[in-house]
Amino acid sequence: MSVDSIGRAYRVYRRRVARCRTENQVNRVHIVLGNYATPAEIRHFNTLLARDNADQSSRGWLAGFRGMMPHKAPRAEEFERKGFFPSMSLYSSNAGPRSDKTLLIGFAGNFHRLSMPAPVFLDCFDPALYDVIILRDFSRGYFVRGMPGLGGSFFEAMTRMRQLVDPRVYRNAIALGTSSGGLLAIFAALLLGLPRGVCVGGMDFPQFTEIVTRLGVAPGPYADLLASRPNPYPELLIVYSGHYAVDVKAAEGLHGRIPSRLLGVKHCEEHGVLGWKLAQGRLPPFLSKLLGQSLERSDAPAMTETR
Amino acid sequence: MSAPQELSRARRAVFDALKIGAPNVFLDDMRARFIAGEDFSIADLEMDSLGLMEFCISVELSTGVSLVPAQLAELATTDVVEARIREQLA
Repeated sequence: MSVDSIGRAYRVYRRRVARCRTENQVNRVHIVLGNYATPAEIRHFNTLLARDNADQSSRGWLAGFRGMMPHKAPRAEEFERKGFFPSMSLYSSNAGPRSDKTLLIGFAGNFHRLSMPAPVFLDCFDPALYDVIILRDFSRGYFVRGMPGLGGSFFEAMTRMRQLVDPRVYRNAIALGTSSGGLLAIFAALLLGLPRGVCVGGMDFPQFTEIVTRLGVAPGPYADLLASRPNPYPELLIVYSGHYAVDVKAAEGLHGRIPSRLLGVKHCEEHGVLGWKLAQGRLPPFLSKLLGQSLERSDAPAMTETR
Repeated sequence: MSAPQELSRARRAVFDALKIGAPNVFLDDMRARFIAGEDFSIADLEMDSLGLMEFCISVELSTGVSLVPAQLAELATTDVVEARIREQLA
C-alpha cells in the first residue's frame, strides 16, 4: 500500500471523525476502522495523528490498536486490503507467488472480528508467507444467510469466494473461525477440501441446528457436510477455553461428531481464547501452533509456544 | 427471538442493544425473561469494553439517546438503563 493511498485513507478517516457529534459516533468510526484497517495503516495513522495534533480520543484509539500489535516494527512487505465486499476483505502483499503462500480464511465472530481488531490479528503474519481473507456476517445469522455480494447462503458464498480467491493455487489453505464463526471454519474446510480447519470457541452442532432452524434455514445440508468424510480428510482442530464451561461442553460435543483434535487452553477463563493469548503476549506462537506452521520466514526471530 | 410489539420503546432499545453488546450471554432464556419483565445486572451480562460500546451505539441509533460506556458502568441494572432512556425520551 503506497504512502499516497494511506494518506487518502487517512483523510477519509479524519473527515468521518470530524463529522461525529457524540462519543458513540467517534467510537463507531474507530470500531469500523479496527474491523478493516491493515497494520501499515495503523502505523501510519498513528504518525499522522501525532503530526496533526489530533483529538485525544482518536489518538487514544490508534495508540490502543498500535499497542496491541505484536510485531513492533514495519515489515519489508505489508498487507494491502482488497475489499471485495464489506463482508469479505482479502489482505495480501505483492511479495512472492501464491504458490509459495498460505491462504488463511477467517470467519469472524462477534463484532465482526477474529477476537481482536483486524490489524492486530494480521500483524501476527508475515505478508510474504500469507494471504488472509476475513469474512464477516452482518446479518448476525451465523453465515447461513450468506453474505451480501457473495451469495444468499453459506454454500453459495463459499462457491463465489472460491471463484474470487482460489485456495487451490496456494501452497496451503486453512480455515479459522472464532466464536460464532468457529463451526463455519470446520464446514468450510470440509466443503472446500482444505487441508486444515480450526474452530476457536465455536458452538456444537445441535446449538447451530437450533439457531439456523429458527432463522428458517434447513440444517440438513450442514448435517450432511459434517457427516461427510472426504478423502483426504482435513485436519480439524477444536480449540476452547479450558475454564469456560459453555465452550468446554461445546468443544467436547463437536469433537465427538467429527474426526478432530481437541485443544483446551489451560488457565483461560474467557470465551475469547485468542484475545486472552494476545493479552498474555503469546498470540503469534499460539497461532503458529494452531496452523501447524510458522507465521514468519525462517530467518525471522524464533517463536515458541510452551503452554 | 425478536422483541414483541408491546415492549416500550425504551425497553425494546435495551433488548436490541443487549443482543448486540452481549451476544454470548443474552441468549434465548435470558431474552424471554427480559421480555417477561426481569431485571438483569449489567455485570452479569459479561459485556467487555467493545460490547459496552456496541450497546451504547445501538441505543443511540435506535433512540437518539446518548448513553456512553462510562455512564453505563454506573447504571447497575437493565431496568435502570431503561429508566434513563425513558427519561431522556420524555
